[in-house]
Amino acid sequence: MQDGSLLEVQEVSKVFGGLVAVHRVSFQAPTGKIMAIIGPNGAGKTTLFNTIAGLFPPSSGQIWFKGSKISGRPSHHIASLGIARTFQLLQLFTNMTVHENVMVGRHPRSHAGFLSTALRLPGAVAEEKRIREKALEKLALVGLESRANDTPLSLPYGQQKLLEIARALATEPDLLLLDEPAGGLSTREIEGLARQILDIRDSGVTVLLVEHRMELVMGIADWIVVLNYGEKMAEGLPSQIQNDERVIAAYLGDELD
Amino acid sequence: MTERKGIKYARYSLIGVLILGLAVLPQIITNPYLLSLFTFIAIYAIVGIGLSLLMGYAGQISLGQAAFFGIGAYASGVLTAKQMWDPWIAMVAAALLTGIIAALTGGIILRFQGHVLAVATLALTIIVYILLVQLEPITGGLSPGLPGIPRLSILGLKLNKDFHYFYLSWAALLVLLFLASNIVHSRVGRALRSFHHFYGGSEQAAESVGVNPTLLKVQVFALSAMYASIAGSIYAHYISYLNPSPFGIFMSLQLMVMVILGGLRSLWGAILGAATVMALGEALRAVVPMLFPKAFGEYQIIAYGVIMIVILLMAPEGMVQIPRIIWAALRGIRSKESQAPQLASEGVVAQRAEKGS
Repeated sequence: MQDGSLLEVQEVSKVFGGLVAVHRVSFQAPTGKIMAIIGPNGAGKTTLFNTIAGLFPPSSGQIWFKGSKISGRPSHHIASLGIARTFQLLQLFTNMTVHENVMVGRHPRSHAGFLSTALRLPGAVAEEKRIREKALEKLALVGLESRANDTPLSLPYGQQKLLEIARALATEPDLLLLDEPAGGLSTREIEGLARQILDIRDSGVTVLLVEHRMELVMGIADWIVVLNYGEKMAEGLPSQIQNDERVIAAYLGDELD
Repeated sequence: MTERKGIKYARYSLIGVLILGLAVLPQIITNPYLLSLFTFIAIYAIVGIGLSLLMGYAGQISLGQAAFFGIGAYASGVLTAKQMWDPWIAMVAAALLTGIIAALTGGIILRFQGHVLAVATLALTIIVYILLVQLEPITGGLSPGLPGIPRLSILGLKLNKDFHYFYLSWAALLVLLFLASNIVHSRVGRALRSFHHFYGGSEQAAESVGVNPTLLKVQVFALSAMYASIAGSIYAHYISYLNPSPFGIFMSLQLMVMVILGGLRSLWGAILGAATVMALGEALRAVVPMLFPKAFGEYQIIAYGVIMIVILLMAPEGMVQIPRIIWAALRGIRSKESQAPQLASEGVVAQRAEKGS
C-alpha cells in the first residue's frame, strides 16, 4: 500500500451470473480527502461500493484498508475495522427512536454482552451512559438532537438521510461511504449536505461517495473516479474530469455546459 | 417526557401491586388445583420470556422451545433422581447443557429464516421427543417414565408444599423477567432489534454498524433455550415425575400461542399470554358444559380458537396492547408524533416499514 491512501482497490471485478458489473477497477482513496465515484446509470458504481462495504466479495481482485485485506470479509467485520456507510435506499431502524438509531451505531465502539447487561454490571451501566451521550453528540452534529425521541419516519426525507450519516459517524469510522447522498434532495438541501460532508472531512474522516448529482460532486470532491460500463474510464481532479473529452462524451455532456 | 415518566411510575406501581398480590395469593386461594394453575402459568411464562426475546426482539421464530423445556426437565430429573446431584447444581448444569445444545443446533439452523426456520425448529422438538421416548435406560421412556425426582430445598427448608412452588416459580419468573428486561434495554437489545426485519430492522443496516446478526441469533437462541431449561427444571422438581408427553409438538405450539397472544413486543406479553391461555382453558372447561350440556372437549377447543382470534383482531400486537387501546380511546385522538416514538422506545410498538434492498 502506498503512503497516504486509506483504501486501495486492486483490479476488482464483480460478475453476476454472466453480467460483468465491474471489470478490473483499481484506485486509491487518499486519507483525509473526499473522493467521488461517478458514472452513468448502470456503470457499476453501486456494485463497486457494495463490494467495498462487504455486502458481497469481489469475483476477483483485492481491497485493502489500513494495510489489511478486507475483500471477502463479512460487512459487520469491515464496519468494525472502521468503514461506515449509508444506503441509497434508506435503511433506518424504524422500530427505534432517532436517538436509538444512532446508539446502535456505537456498537463497534462498545463491548457489553448478554451477561453484563442482564446483571447491570457497573461497567455495562457506565458504558450505556457513554453510548447515550456519544449518540446525542453525533445527532447534534447533523442538527437532529431536538428530534432524539421521535421515530425516524416522522422526519422529513432530507433529515432521514442525515440521520443515517449520524448513525454511520457514531461508529467513528476512518472511512465513510456515502451511497448517493444527494438522491431525492432539493438543491437547497444539497447545499447543506455539501457543507456537512466538508465538515466530516475536516474532522479527519475520509469520504468516498457514489453520486450522480454533479452539483454536489464538482463542488466538494477532491478526487474523482469515473466508471463507464463497469470499467474505470478516467480519474483526476474535478477540473480535469470536467475537461476530459471522453468523460464528456460518455456522461457529462450537457450537464457541464 | 412527563408522560414517559408517568408510564414509568405506572409500571413500577404495577410491579408493586403484582408482587403484593402474588405474596398474598396462596393465603386467598385454598384450592390446591387453582394454586397449581398459577404455578404453571409462571413456569410457562419463563419459557415465554425466552421465546419473546428470540421472536419479539430478534425476529427469529422457534417451534423448538418444548425440546429445550424437556431437555432441562430431564437433565435435572436424571441428574438428581439417578445421579443424586444437588438439585440447584443440577439446574445450573441443565441450563448450561441446554444452552450448549441450542448453540450447536442454532449455529446450523439459524441460517434459515421464516417458515423454513419454523420447520427446522419443529424438527428439533420432534427429535428430542423421540429421544426422550426411546432412550429408556436413561429417561424411562413412556413407561415407567422418570419417577423419584427429589423436591427442592432452600437453606434446609424442604419445598414440599404447593405454595412453596408457587412462590419459587413466580420469584424465578420475576428475576428472569428483570434480567431479560435489562438485556432488552441495552446495547445487546438494540442490536437484536436492529436486524428484526419484520419490525423495521434491517440486517444490512445492522451489519453496516458492526452488528453481527449471525452470532447474536445463536446467542439469543441459546439464551431462550436456557430460560426454557430453567422452567423445565422447576417443573421437574414440582411434579417430581417426568414423562415425555408434555414435551412434544403441542407444547411448542402452545408456547408460541402464548407469546403471540400476549404480545411479542413486550416481555410482559409472555406472562399475560401464559395466564390467558391457562385461564381460558380452565374457564372454558367449566363454562362450556354449563352452556351446552351436550358439548364435548372439541367444542371447548372451538370456543378457545374463536376467543383467540377475537383477541388478535382487536389487538394485533397482542394483549399488552389492550391497556394502550383503552387508554387511547379514553384520551381521544392524539397526535401521532407524541405517541409513536415513545412506544417505539419502550420496544412495544414498531411501525412496519417498506425496505428497499
